[in-house]
Amino acid sequence: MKSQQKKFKLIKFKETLSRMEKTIPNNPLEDKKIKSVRVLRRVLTEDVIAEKALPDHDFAAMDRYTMRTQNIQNTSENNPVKLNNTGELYPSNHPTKASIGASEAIYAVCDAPIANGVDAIIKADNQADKYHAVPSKKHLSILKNLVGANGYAITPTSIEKNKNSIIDIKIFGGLEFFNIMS
Amino acid sequence: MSKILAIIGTSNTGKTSIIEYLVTNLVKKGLTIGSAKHVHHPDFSIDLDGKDTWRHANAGSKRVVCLSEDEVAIIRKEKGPEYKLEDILKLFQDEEFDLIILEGFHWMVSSRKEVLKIVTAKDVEDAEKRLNGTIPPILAITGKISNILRGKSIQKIPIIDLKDESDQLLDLIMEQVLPTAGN
Repeated sequence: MKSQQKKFKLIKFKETLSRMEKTIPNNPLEDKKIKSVRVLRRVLTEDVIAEKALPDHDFAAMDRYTMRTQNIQNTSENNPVKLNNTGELYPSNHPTKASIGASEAIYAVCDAPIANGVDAIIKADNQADKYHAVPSKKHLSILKNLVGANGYAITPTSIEKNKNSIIDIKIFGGLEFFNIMS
Repeated sequence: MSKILAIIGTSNTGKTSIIEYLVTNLVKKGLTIGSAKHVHHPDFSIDLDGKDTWRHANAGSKRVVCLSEDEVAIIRKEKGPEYKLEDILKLFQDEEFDLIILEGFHWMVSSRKEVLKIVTAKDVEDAEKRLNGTIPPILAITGKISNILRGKSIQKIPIIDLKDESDQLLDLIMEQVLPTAGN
């Protein structure tokens, strides 16, 4: 140990910081507009806000899990969120009084009504690694902070260009559903 | 009184192809067909950005009518999802149609016994989801499911392969539209 202390002299924090600042060039990376489907593992420069609801009506455009944004905001492959799938909705359930609770998901078949309280949807797919997230209902900003919190990025402008596209952010790979139906 | 036939199923299960086939062949049999389709995309417009009709609508016209040599188009700047089945049928009232075919509108027709239905499905699970809560008459199930379950049935509803059993499907419709057909 003594011989190591002689070799590596400890320096103060301020001096360390000063040395680092001299070494690391002070030119932050510029943001870049890219397609939303190519954003995985990039750094977000701004919150992503869906300006347009898709669909713009309160029934499902495809088979999907519906849920609350607040329950999935910090979801990632390393931080899976577990939601209870509490039911299914079908087109014949129009109009519905169903509502969604905390940590719950409801499966909605194409053309089924959307339960009250739902503001996020994930397309149901047979392959677990192909979940898609799309905004649902009006005045929605479901992607706000969602991507940034996990270190993944989408530039807002790319969403505007592709506002009718499904936003495949792929961070829902860790999402799990517990089916508690009888 | 026009008969109504709804083709219901999730996207990419062949709804439009079936309608295309049915219209072609039912017209050949002498039927007058009208059809309607539901579009999910929020920004959809049949008009073309920048064209004169688009400019009329963009300026605020609530209804734009475009007449040409072989076509009259009426563009209503209204909220389609707020339409009820009766509202759609009103659009066909000015002419006598033997059959009005609806593509989609599952939520609108699922509990309507006066609406004939054909379900398109990928597989059994898919078919069962479409059938859940949907009341008869359901004439047939078709689509990709017929590749794996040809000649079978689900809930006593026949699965029909359009490639080889298309006549059967046409007959089922004709029996409903023209009960005396074939006599």
